[in-house]
Amino acid sequence: MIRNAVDHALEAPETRTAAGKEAEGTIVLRARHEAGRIVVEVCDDGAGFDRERILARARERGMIAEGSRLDDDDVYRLVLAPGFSTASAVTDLSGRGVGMDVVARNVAALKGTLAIASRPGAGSTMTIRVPLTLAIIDGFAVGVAEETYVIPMDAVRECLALPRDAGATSAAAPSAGGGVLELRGAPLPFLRLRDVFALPGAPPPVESVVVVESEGVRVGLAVDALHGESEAVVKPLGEVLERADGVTGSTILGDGRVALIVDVPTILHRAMRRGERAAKGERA
Amino acid sequence: MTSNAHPGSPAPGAQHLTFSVAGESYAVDVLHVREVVEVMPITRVPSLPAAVRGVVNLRGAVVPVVDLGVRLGGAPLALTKRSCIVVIEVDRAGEPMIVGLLVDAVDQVIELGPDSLEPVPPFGTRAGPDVLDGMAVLGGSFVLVLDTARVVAELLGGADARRVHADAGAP
Repeated sequence: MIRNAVDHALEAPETRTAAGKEAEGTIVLRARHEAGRIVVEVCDDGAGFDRERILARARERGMIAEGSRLDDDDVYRLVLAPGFSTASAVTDLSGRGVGMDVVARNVAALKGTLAIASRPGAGSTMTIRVPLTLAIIDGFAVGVAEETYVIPMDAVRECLALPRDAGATSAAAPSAGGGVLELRGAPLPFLRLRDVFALPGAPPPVESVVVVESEGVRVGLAVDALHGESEAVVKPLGEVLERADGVTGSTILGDGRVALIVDVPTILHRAMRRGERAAKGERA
Repeated sequence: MTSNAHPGSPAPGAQHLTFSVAGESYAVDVLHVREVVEVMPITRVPSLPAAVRGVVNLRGAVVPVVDLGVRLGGAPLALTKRSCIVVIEVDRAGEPMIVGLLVDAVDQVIELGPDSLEPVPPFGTRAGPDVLDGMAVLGGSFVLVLDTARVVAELLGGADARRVHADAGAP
């Protein structure tokens, strides 16, 4: 990918100076942990993806129909096709068409995702997210119904008791299985983990809330009990269980039981989408 | 299975483990059985088919447990003292996979030769001929021989279900 960035993304020094950029290009490689996933970013300050050139090349190869309208995301996805290259000449570095498709395939094999963001003239960022397979994470264990779940610690911001009257607001959004509570004067939407995972039984009279954050979104997760922080050895879910929604893996607790690791980004995404749909429905 | 036994001599039988699910008796080839364990705490997993009861910790390995009651009895099994998990190994798209089958009780190991296996009628059994290799009469009642790979493929779903069948059908 870095090789790709050097050859495709970064322009020649003359072009860069002409565009008002420093003659020397920069490629940044970043890696971090994010809520139970490993994130690797390759960021360049080159020309960005050339939408028209990609489209032209795709048409040439018959990958897209003449006149079809694609949004930027779809266009960027085209470069992931095997053998796709817009480089006009094969160089020492790349251009043989063995590039992004290999990256995409390897990421897919690891059950990860590859996101491409690009601004014309300002560069592009490739973000690879792969689930943790065998690793140790700091987790926060919570109890819901008879189950124990582990929330990756890096997503946890704070814990508090759910105010007794907070449940009342859920009448306004009964389908969401949550509501809004007040956190230091600001509203904080919350979900009941019991509803998220469709667990039976009624919530206990006193519930706790774990405030989690992912990609800048802050949400409370209401649980029955807080068990506290511990290190968790992440076990992959395996072929069947990776289809389960809202969990990234599992770990074995001290008492020998299996606890699932909560996939915070997915749960928040899903809740946000549902919220947006509900809002649209109300307006309609 | 081919019937190559000589008349008069007892056919070489394959050992089968029998167990009961929802009042009926089933058997699986012992060669597919890894072990039988007591029911342990099963961790529920969200958004999977109803037949997947959850996962258990089998000496450090996280193993999915399939509730055979959902497929063979129409409802999840109620756990009792005799409930067991039959841990089997099935071939799934060329890869071995360990799965636990939740059953009401494990009974015995019997020998079932090709001669004692009858073809499964197209209807009349709750399991249906799709997931059965055959049936045998044992002590006045039927024992239904399960095709484990098919059962698992059906219950767990997935695009590779057909391939599992092809693999399971190979000698």
